[in-house]
Amino acid sequence: MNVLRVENLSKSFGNQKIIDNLNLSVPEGSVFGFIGQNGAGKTTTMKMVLGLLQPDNGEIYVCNEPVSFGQTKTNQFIGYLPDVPEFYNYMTSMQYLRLCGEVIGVSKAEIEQRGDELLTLVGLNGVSKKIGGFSRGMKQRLGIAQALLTQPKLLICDEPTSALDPVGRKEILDILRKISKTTTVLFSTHILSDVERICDRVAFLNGGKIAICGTLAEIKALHGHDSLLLEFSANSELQMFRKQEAIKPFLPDSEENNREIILHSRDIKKVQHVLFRVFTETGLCPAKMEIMEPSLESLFLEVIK
Amino acid sequence: MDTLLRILPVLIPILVMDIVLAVAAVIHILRHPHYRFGNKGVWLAIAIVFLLFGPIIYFVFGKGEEA
Amino acid sequence: MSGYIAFVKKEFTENMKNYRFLIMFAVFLIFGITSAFLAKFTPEILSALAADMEMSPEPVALDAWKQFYKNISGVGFSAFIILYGSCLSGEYSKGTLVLMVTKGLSRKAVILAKYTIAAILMTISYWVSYAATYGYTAFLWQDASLPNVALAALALWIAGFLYLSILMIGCVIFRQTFTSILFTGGIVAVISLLGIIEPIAKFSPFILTTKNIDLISGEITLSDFMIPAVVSIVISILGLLLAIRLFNKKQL
Repeated sequence: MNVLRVENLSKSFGNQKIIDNLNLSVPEGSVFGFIGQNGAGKTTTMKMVLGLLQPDNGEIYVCNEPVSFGQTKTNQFIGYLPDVPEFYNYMTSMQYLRLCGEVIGVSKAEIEQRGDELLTLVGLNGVSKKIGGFSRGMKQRLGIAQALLTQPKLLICDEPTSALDPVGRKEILDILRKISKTTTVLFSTHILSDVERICDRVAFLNGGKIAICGTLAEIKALHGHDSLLLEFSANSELQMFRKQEAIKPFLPDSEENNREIILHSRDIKKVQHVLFRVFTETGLCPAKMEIMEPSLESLFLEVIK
Repeated sequence: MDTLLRILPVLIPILVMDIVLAVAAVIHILRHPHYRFGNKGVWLAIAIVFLLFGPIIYFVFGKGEEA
Repeated sequence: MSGYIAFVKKEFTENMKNYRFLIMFAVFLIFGITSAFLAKFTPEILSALAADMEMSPEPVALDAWKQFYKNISGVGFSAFIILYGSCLSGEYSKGTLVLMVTKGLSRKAVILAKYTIAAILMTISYWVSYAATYGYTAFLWQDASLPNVALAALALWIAGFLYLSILMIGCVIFRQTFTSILFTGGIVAVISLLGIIEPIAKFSPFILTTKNIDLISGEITLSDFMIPAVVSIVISILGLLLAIRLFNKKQL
């Protein structure tokens, strides 16, 4: 089942078309990375999913129920963490969760119990100071706790790690990984290493559309050149290798750096066959040979070109 | 003098309120050293010198955003 | 409903913590006490300070109420509007409402809760101020007895809700405190201007804030207040509904 389905969504601000006929589905149980440059429209899309912005066109379904602007019915399925969550500064984290619980309509005993569990999960249990004195990382963690209070089917996080230092980022990612067992997570980011760490599905947003979408493995298999790195023990060996007739077709597409050469090809197996034949014929022996995985980074750059 | 003595009992509630407001303002000024404008010295002076209205002006216009 | 109650509680705590209630209460109480006090003693003090000043006529209890209405309808409600002008702009600028609304708190509940608490605090401040003026007047002019004192105060209180409704609309439309207050001031000014135009003057809620003293002195009768009061209540309710409607379509 798809927890979230977006169909033909469009949104303009003034003359600028931010989202242009966007389609997206998020299957249940996935950790979905929503990737795009700053200003690509990630936040805009999420706000429309939450009913905070009016779409110009298109439909959004959360758990098969349509989202309508200004109304909050579908939000019962969603936990939302904005990029910079803001709370009432005069409250402590438990007081804030109590307010949230009362708004949702959970019984007092349950609020206390769940509040306690969630604060433990995000590592804020026993912090008695007021939210006004919290660091960004602490606010972000409280943001996750409040988002999970409704026991949502879908957790939407808008750039949860962008404003944080490395320690704070790791904490947030660890928490997200922990909760992904029970909740579908959709999070937007432009930090690709975060995506590689916890996501199983990704979608690249570019020019208001989804450029690529699929599981991380699918995308890596489908897109980007596969590359092979060879390292020789001396530059002279590399020059000799380059002179071989069989290697010539690959050279225009290669990168060279001192004793290293990187060959690019769509069919890396064929390259390997050629290489091994060349090695046996010439007696050349590379010091290192490695098939390079396409990085999300190169994919991303390719997509936004 | 005669008049003053007659007025005095009537004045007491106002004095009490002024003291309450001034104390609240002074405590707030010292505990929250962030103001929309002006600085600690100025606000302390205003809250204490201007009877009744000093503290009110502080809370309405001078108090920083953080609650 | 549970959301409304939760938010009312939150609003109450907030108004306590940010001193809004304390200040409003203090402003109203100060005017309540000083109205009677100044009316009684200003001539005496002036003549004591400057012996050659012309003696003004002996002040009467009505003068205390004159002071009260002048101060409360002017400075008192201005302070109220200035204090509450920030009731939504703070939440807009920080984005604190986004988390509440995405949790299923209806937007109607937000506005109603804010209105409820503002109305309750205004009511308490107002009637305490009234009680103070009443008590001091009774103490300083022990033989005086005036008719319709409570009813005159009731009229201004009804107008207070009108101010609050207009302020709510302003707060919903504008993201900045200052513009919301300016809007409220503008609308109130328009209402006062309409109150001058002869054919509709006797329906205008403006009467509720200006003719209170005439009701006490007996220059006009209670029936003159009836239509303006009804008009004021109707506009207040419509204003509140409009604020909710506008807020429903507001991008947070």
